[in-house]
Amino acid sequence: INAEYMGIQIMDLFVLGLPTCGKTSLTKVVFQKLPLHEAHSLSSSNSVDVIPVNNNPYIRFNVYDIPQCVGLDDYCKANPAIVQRVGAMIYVIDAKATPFEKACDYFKQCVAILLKYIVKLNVEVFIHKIDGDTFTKGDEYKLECHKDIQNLIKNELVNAAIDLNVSYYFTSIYDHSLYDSFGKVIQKLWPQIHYIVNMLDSLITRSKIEKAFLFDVLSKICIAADTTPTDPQNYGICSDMIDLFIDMSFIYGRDESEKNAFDDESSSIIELQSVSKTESSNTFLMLRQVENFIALVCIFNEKDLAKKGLVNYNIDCFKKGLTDIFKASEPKKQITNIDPILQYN
Amino acid sequence: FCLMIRRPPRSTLDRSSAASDVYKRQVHGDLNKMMKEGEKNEKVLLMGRRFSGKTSMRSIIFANFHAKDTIKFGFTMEVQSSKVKFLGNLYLNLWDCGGQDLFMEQYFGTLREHIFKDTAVLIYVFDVGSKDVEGDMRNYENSIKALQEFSKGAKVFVLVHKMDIIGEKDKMKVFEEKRALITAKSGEFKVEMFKTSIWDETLYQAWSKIAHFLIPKIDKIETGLNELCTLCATDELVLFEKSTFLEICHIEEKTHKDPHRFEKISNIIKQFKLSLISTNYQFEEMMVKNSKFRAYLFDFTKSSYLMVVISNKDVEETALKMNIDALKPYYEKIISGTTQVLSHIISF
Repeated sequence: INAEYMGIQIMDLFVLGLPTCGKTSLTKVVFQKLPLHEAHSLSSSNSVDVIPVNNNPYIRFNVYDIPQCVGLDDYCKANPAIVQRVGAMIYVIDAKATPFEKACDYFKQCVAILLKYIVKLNVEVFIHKIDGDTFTKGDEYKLECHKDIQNLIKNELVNAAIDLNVSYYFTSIYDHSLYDSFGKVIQKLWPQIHYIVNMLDSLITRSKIEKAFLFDVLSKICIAADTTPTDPQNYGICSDMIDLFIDMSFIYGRDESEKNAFDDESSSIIELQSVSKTESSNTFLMLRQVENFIALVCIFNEKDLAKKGLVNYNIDCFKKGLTDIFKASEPKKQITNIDPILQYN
Repeated sequence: FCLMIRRPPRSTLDRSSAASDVYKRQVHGDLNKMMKEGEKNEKVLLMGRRFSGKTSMRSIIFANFHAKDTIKFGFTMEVQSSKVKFLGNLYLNLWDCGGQDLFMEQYFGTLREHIFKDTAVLIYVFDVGSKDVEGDMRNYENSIKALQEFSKGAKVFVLVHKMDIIGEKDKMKVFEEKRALITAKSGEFKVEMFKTSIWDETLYQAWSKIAHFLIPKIDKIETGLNELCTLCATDELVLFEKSTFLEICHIEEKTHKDPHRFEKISNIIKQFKLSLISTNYQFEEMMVKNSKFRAYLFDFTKSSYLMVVISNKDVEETALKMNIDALKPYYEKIISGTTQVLSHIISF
């Protein structure tokens, strides 16, 4: 069954890895707002944890945190409907748990099992726990880890005769790298991404915006960005701005009974002064809601903000375009002229 | 601005207290030179047993440290004195007294007068997870006695710290138990107690109240702001100090359900400013809105930020900005005027 043809979005994620590598803490920190200082006191998982992400009706997927003690093969056999919707496997390796042989061996097993059930699978490796003194002092240790893991995995895959492209990401729950990496993983799976990136590109050229990001405000994952090169610093600032905005809105912007403070008119502008000597003008960050729980964050230069009304109008057009794209991609409920056996139920 | 008060060499300690007095005067002479005309200096003692969290707290509030970086701190070596500028001309002379038992013996013994004299505020920190409650209370009692001897008019704040290790439902119970114990040993001082943790906004609440106490003539600032509030038809006006982002005072036209919102805002904005430190940007101004409210954070005077919250849709942003800009010099005078006093000299 070609699920894509049937309009089902294949965006679910399987998160796998050895025990204590950090799968549960990273999924909970990103999708369930677990406070960082509680991440250490999580107990070992012994069953599959499913985190549904459906803040926005058009971007819905599930994240499955599968511990090693649950046999992956049995789980896949018992839940074919779940496996059908998986688009990517995220394998988490604890960068502090050298040597990596055991991790890479289990990785090969997981890949082999999943390839039995899934035709198109993105394989992403998160080199996790990149924090603490060993990593902040310089990049050499990070690159060493990367090289080791890459070589081990390449050997494992060659031995198992599996031909696959593996992507590597460095992550830590203590900074933006985790959110950035999740964002990249999701972007690869999202079918509408190309249309949206095109729209963002035309928006920034016509409105003289330096950089624009589309964020899911609850999980702070960047679901789209324009094609100009991203400065990780700018990405971090935009992500922090969302925190600031959501917290402030939560205090002042809602009535007692409401839980949600992010509505149609939510917006924010933050003015930043550049400390470097070459720049004399200030930088502005503008945030505007474009969809349920999706915000557009733009970075401008002071001189270009003079035409604020024009920019707002362009963003309104972008908003409408985004809604159109989402509506057009809704899974088709009615399928005619197809053999009843293939109908999605 | 870290001035370490050095331990008098063994030889002077052995000789007599007069010799160590001369030594202390030499060291203190440097401090006097740093003060200029018109500055108001307040001595704030930060005491508590070892690892209670004193240095972490002051680093977070005054030195832009992130909560997670304070885990790296070792113990404080004797007394670390720092001069912190706060709101215009007010300077806090913060004495972070290392809490190792060896040092505490000295504070109550040979350095007694030196430490406890001329103190405006004593902040005593208890680690709520400490197993040696008797030892904690003994040290506290000694501090109170010494303070009573040398600075009768000082104000005492007690922070029950590291409350994050206690579960939500037990927090009040544990706090009240501590309160009973502490009030019993507080002698003649009326002690104000707070429960704090570096992981949430309670830290800012406690330090905000401490700062509030230290600012003289704060009612003058409040009356000024009251007028501004009615003039601009705003719901709320809050004044924050620039570097620490502690709330100084607020005017509430429309009642709000959350009494802890100010420390939450302090925490929120401080976190954002911290994240900007590694970039080449500095926070200037901010506007946040949704269909129910608008909040502006303006760069107000040289040492403060003003936050304006409006729910009335008729208030024009440009008019508001013009009004506030026009009034900045007036408030600059009020705020620096309240902290100006003839220079204060520490006497022996």
